[in-house]
Amino acid sequence: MKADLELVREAKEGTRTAFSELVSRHQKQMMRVALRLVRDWDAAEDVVQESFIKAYQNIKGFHEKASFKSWMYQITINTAKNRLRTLGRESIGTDHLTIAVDDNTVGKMMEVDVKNVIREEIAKLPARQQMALNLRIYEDLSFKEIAQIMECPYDTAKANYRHALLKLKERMDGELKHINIRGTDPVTWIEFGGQPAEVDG
Amino acid sequence: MSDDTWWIEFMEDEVEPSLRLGMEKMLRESNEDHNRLENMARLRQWIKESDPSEDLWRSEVNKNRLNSLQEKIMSKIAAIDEVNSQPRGSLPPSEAKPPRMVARSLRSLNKGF
Repeated sequence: MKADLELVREAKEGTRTAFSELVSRHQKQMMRVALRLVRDWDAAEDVVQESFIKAYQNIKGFHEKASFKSWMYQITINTAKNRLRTLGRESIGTDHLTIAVDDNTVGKMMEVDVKNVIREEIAKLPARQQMALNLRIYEDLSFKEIAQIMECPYDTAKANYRHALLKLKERMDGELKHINIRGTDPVTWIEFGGQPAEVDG
Repeated sequence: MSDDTWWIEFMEDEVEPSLRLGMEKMLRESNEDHNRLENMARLRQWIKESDPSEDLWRSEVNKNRLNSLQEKIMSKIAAIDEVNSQPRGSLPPSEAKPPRMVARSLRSLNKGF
């Protein structure tokens, strides 16, 4: 399998199939990040299409100092932000989801409640802290990649993430003391050097 | 740095190996530190599980639509290439050159990359 940068070089030479392969490799991740920002499938699709077209039109200006993926993340995030600005939504608002919960399942209700509270609290964070949190936790990116995408030093990317987490911890302190959704001990996986189970999707 | 800050660094695997050993010892010996890290890890897990795109992502209709996304993107790109391959004189003035704002935004794309 060809590396991304090899495909980038071929695309620079005018090989459209090489760019098509890059689209195939990265469209899911870009769709996911756009969806998190615009919260609407049609709008996210528009954002992703526009982002790949921008990348194609500007591929010769991509100097390969970072990965193609990081470059695409940056284009997609900026395109999504422009879309939100055009729609008059400076920041992502609180979800107004209808919550359907089985009356007998108290644990499930608490889980939904905690998720909604977290979403609301994340929406209140400054934009750059939200971005660092989003890229680290949902996209599993390294701080080096986050710094490239956010165009800031490594330590600043980390500080944005850290501040976001500390603010959320302060706001969720009550829930953290009293609720244990899954009844698992999250420390266990850290002590054994593993990772928490990924939510499939 | 506050205690919580240290545990965030630990959780994200951003501490040096020598420091990590000391922190692992603290975890074994101090309930307070153990609880701090446990809370931080639980918070991280909750955030991960609160992904706002999850419901949309799991929809079967949307999964099918995702399959045709590449095709849509590439057909648009092919159309752009076709327009660009035509002689300049044959294009209407509005398509001959990108508007100034678009050209500027394209230039800014490769900053740092």
